Amino acid sequence: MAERGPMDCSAARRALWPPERLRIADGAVLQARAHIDECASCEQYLAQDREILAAYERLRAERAPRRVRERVFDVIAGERSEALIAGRLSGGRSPPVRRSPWVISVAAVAALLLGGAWGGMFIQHGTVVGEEALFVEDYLRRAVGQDHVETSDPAEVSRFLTRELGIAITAARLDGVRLSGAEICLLDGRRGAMIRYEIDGREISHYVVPNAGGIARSRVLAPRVTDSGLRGPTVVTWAGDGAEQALVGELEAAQLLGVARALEH
Amino acid sequence: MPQAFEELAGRKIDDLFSGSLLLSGGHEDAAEELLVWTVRRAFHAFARGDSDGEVERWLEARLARDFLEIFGRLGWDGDRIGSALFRAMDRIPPRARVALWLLLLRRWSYADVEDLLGGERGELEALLSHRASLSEVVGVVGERPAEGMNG
Repeated sequence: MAERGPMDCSAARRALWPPERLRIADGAVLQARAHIDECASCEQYLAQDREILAAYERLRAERAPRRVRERVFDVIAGERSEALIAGRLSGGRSPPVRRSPWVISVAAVAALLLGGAWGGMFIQHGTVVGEEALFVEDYLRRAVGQDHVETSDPAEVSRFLTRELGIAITAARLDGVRLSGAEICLLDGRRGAMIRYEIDGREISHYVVPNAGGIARSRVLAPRVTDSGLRGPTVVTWAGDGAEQALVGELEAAQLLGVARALEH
Repeated sequence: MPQAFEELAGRKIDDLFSGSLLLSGGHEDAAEELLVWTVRRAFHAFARGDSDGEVERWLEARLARDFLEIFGRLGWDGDRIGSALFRAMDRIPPRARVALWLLLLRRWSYADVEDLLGGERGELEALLSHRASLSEVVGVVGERPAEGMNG
């Protein structure tokens, strides 16, 4: 780093950054300009800066792909609709309380499936709403009766889900993904399917909660975040075909998204 | 004049996507997920009136923070856009990517980048030393528009 009088390279660049911005020529600016005029290192630095910026500007000239644009605006539209609905329903909720990571995980899936915008806040802050809701949830879960089937046969899973839920829900056949069973889940008072798969020995759960007339929503990746940083499981949610859906598992986000895409299609 | 979030997002989507691609080292899936995640959360923050100062910079700051807090910690494979600049970014640490994107390419001031990163005094200079990786590829290879960006 060159020394030119009282100002070194780092201070001179800071004082004149970004170089194209108009600034009042006070003492510090004059000193910085004097330094840069005489400093070969700074001259080279600024020349490289112009090259890197030009390279980036050429990349920026490209537009975001239409697929991405559509998805972004689809997500905004979905969030706006759900925020309006949540605004009408949120009056009676209890204040947030802290819970164990396991409970947060279950509640986060429920919130993501059924609360949309509210679910995002769950994940951001690692809190859940309404202590009493879990007791009700557990009581109702026991009242459900036969609530699971252990099999790798998609036909058997489909028969079980159709019998229990009264609608046809089909287990998927995907390369590298093994079906291991299905359960009836109860999320915010609504019965749905939770189909279990395994990938390389790791379990993932596909939630399908019927929601006739619900708003279609694109895939949203929601890596679970707690106060201590990022930990599994990762969650991907979407809505369509008359159901809210989520995929939850301890996989890398990219891998979970790949499965979600395959399930959507 | 008050504006809808959709207007703001529409104006910034290309900038945010190119920033997202750069931060993600050219991984298209990662860039898309980061962008969607940021826009989704920004929608609610905007509705609460949490946007402060220049809203376009506020969105860039949110993208950078979401990258650092979440997406910079994930591993990605799969399709990548074949740009030397993206490949160079993929090889440097997440905080350095954010520093270089905001300071060098989005022309933020040193003070604003330091505020966002919240690190110790002097950390920014260390992060900016990774700039050499970028100038190397731009100087040697020359940079052309990304292939497949509209694909």
